Amino acid sequence: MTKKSNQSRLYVPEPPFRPGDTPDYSHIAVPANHTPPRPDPLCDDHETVEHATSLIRVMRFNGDVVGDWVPELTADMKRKGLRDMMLTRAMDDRMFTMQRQGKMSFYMKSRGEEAVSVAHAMALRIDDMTFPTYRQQGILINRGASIKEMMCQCLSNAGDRLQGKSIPVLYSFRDFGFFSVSGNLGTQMIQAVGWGMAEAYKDSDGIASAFTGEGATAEGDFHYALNFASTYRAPVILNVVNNQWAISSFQGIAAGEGETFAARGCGFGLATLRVDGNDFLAVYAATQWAAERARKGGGATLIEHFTYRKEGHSTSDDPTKYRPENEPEVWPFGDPIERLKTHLIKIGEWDEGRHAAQEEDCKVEIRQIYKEAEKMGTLSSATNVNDFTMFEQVYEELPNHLEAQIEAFKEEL
Amino acid sequence: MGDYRYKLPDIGEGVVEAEITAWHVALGDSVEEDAPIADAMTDKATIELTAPVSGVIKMVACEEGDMLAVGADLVIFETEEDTEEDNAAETAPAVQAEAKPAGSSTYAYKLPDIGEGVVEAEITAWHVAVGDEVEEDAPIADAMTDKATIELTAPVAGIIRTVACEEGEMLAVGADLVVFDVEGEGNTAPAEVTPLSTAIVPAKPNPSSTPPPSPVKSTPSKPVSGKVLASPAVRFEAKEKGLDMFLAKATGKEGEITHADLALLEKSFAQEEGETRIKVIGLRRVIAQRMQESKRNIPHFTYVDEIDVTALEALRKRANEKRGEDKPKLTVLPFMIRALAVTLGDWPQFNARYLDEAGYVSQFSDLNLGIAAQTDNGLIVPVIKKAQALSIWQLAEEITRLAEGARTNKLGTDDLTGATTTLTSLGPLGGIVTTPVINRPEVAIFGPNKIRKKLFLEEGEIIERLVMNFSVSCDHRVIDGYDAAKMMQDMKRALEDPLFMFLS
Amino acid sequence: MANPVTKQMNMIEAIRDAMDVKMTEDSDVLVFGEDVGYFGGVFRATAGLQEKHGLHRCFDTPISEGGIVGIAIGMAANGLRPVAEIQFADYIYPGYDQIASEAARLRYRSNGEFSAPLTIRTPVGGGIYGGTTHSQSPEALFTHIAGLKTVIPSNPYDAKGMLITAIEDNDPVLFLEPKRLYNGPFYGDPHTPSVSWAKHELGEVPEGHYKVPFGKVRKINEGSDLTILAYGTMVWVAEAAAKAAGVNADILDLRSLLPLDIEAISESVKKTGRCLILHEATRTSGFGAELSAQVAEACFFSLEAPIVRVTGWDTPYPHAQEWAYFPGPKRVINGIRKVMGDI
Repeated sequence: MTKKSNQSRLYVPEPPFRPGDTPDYSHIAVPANHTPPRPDPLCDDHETVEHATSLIRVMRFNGDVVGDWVPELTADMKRKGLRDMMLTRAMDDRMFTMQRQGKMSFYMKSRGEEAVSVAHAMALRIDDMTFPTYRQQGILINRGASIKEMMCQCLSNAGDRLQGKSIPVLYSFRDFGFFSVSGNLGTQMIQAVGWGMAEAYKDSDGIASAFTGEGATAEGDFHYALNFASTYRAPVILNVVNNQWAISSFQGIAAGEGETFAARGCGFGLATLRVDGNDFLAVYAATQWAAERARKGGGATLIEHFTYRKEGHSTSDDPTKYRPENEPEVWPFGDPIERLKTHLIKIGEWDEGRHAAQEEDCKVEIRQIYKEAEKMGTLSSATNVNDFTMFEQVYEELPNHLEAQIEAFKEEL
Repeated sequence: MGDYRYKLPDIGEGVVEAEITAWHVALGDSVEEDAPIADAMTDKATIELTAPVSGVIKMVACEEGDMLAVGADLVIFETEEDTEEDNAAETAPAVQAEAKPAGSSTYAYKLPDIGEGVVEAEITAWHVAVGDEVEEDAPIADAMTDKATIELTAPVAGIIRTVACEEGEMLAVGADLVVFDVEGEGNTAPAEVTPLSTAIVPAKPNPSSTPPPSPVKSTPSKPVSGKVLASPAVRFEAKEKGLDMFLAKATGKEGEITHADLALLEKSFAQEEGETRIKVIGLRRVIAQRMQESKRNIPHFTYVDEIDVTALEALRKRANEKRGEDKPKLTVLPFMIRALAVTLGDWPQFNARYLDEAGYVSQFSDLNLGIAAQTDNGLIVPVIKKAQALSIWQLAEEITRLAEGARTNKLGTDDLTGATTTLTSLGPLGGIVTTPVINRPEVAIFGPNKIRKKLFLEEGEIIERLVMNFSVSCDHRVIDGYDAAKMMQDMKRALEDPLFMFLS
Repeated sequence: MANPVTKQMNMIEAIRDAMDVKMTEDSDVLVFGEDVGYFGGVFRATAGLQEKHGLHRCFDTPISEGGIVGIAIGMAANGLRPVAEIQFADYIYPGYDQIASEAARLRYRSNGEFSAPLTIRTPVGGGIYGGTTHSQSPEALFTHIAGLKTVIPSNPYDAKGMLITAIEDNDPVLFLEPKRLYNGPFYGDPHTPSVSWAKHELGEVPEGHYKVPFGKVRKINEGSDLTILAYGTMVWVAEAAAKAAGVNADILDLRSLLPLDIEAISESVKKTGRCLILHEATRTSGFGAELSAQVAEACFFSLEAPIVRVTGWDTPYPHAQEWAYFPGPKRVINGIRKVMGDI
């Protein structure tokens, strides 16, 4: 950060490295043994102030687990988490390639952030409603939604449950606790608070969990959400996925150079946790803590998932235009899949051979599912959705003026 | 085996083309599905394009560094099996269409836009004819617009295959002026060009035959109807009732027609007591139309002179007394025709038609004289052909035949067409002066009036003479008043001293 | 059905009664907004509801219109029937994104998997010296949004029946309350003594549950000289102005702007051949523009004169010049004379 002087000058934050620079993130501390203690989930919110500025980690890079956040997870569950992450990545890769072949208009990958969605989902109940962004497809994979249906939605084909109304990746899977994703950023944080308030009003112990990137914390909706969640002690988890980049704007543009994003919650009197988002077990543990707090009437928790977006924002983006090409590799927190694999191998529950085989399995499985999905058409093929469905679901019942417009559209044909 | 076309995909948000910055395959390479094919760069991103199928590369689109449009074939694979996606048949071949063989092509030279809103030009002169071999830049034709006359020159060398029109005709900007047969590549598909055999080569019009059809104007100038102001409801009412709003008197504040105005108009069309309505149809309608056209288009002037027909009447009386059994009784009409034939021989501009749209006057050596005749159905005009060649007796017989035919509706087309000028006679009924309406496209019409006795003072003596007023109406566009007066003096002389009519 | 028992109410009481009826019937109905809880709302529309139905059923919110609409969406998607109050329509804009991009789109983008059956109540219009920030009529900003319904009653009877319809509607409804009409019909002249709903027949409100359907106009007066399309406060100004102008007008209270009862509108304009459109909102791109276009399309061949709009000026709502801005009887009578072809 630029040194302060006694002269006021307009300050515009710049990321430390741009294309052509050699990125060096040695200044970012990767705490090994300094994980803050795990308080009781129903503690006073002040007891989590420390957690907003430090970093909850469970796994060391050598696979050892340390500290009192180590979750009780069976090896099977850890292997399922690993497989879900690998499946998510395989699907992302496949869909990205298919977009490049013109099969769909658009796609968004979640590489590097798979632990945030998969471990988070694993720590919730399936009836806990999540309000994800476009980078939490891992929730659906973990909860067992149909990958083929996800793909069909991206292809806007005959198998698209949304009948072509939404762009790729903006899924809606109510039965899998996955709220319809909005393309307007940040808006869903406050809706999740409302959902949670309704759960509490109905005396249900269901909770809601909402996501935003660090960039959209600048939206008013984020602050509405913190305010209302605190005011009404709503049973929600408010997740900020700090992946460092909002398209081409680094997190400093969203006031990330000062206090942490988790610390935003302290002023609202919310419990606040900041977690290593590339550490599957830490994300699981933090989520579990926040979910218990919400479910038992302790109110909302703001969790900052500290991670890194390893790919472009979307298929329309080229990160080499604004950040060093090798920045994703030198980012000091490693890769969530590699780290969980190392841990599983370390505890004797996994090996390189099985891992390689599983990677191939995921690839083959995804390719197979994709072939099936594509049989139902692509955006540009003849088997896409019926144009007349565009008039449906604007309202529950078709109003007169839309009926007239359907007739006008028929004449156009 | 099948072909699979991999088209450059729409790689995001409105990108229409991409630069192919690198190829990872070459012609003949065998590639696996998902293997890298090429790198494409857009304004937004550089992306790697991978193989959607396995196969052998049989076509690559371009060189590295070339731009390629989204949707264009990037590569074509020859695939092992007929994949479902085998899409080769659905598009045009990737290879460029073979160049047309040299020598067989045509070049159409369209009338260029020769300035500021000109939409057509008159081709006033041709410097080439069909079959001519012309050099590039050689003069082709002269074109005249409101603004200028310009010379049009050949844009290419070649042989003239067709020319657009006759000299004097209007041609629309953008229409083919000439079509060349050229060496090498032309600018038209052969099919677009009119074959030589049916090229527009109209025969030269024979001055004595029917005039050529007036050339079709490229932009027909319709009379622009004026605007009527009225509310939609008033317009609707007028439409429903079939009322012509142009006929209504507008009393609205803004000059608009009101419902009340329509009601007045409707009332004015209402049948009054004692009124009988007769539909104007058939011959009546044709007459109405032709008279209206004549008066609308031709600026008439009428010249009248008084003619002493005492000698003529004496001659006619004697002729009738002396005629044989086989000869018809003579009226004054054959004598007037004779006088016209003699006079118009010297005044061909009165025995003529003016094709105003085509822009020329046709004069005729024969006097084909229309004789206006009244029938029960209305006016018809049978024609005495070559009247100058007929004797008085032949004229009288022809008049009788045509009059009878007109009454009994038995005249053929030939008897009713081809007039070069017309005589209309209301003489037997009385009247002092007529101002007849010209039978368009003729340029003159003659009208004798009733013969009556009149007293004259001659060398101190009061004498009685038979006189007749004789009218001629002329098209002032092509006949001057001076000529009409001179012609009428000749006519007067011929009728007043009738012997000479038979000596010429 | 026997005549229902009625009670004379003003519009606030009718609106409150609608919420009370629904809260009694359906525990999913919650009421919230700024100052609506213990205090009962700045216009008293929710007075007594917290006391009667409990803290959880009727409560205060932070001053955060985006937040109010946002939680309403989340609650509605989760099965509740939230009725949110925005204290003045002038304050609704922070919630506009939540209304336009979220509430109105949720059913569509999830293809019916989620929906947002919420009601947003908000007072609109001037006449109370509210100036730029307490007088606006932003209806046209909402009728432009596919997926939203926008309604505006002009009297106690309709207000109660329409609010019950709104709460029971499975789509989001924006319920606009003409605040000048809360206590009585307003005929446009602020210098004459106020009239209350106490003696007006539309102040006779049935007890209990009844609905006034959306998409149906109410005919305030049957006439043949011209058609006057109005809603909210302007309905009563129209009635007074037509009387003063000595014309026999078909006065249609639109009640529901979207969906719009174009059938009744065109039937009337086809009958009269003349159409005057009134609204208090600014003129350019106001809802009158939409009405004018639809009337022209549907009734063109019946029109005897240009369609005329009488509206507020294209200025912010001024404070001291309130009655110069307001499209009062004088402006409306001028409009009537214009559409009648008298001037």
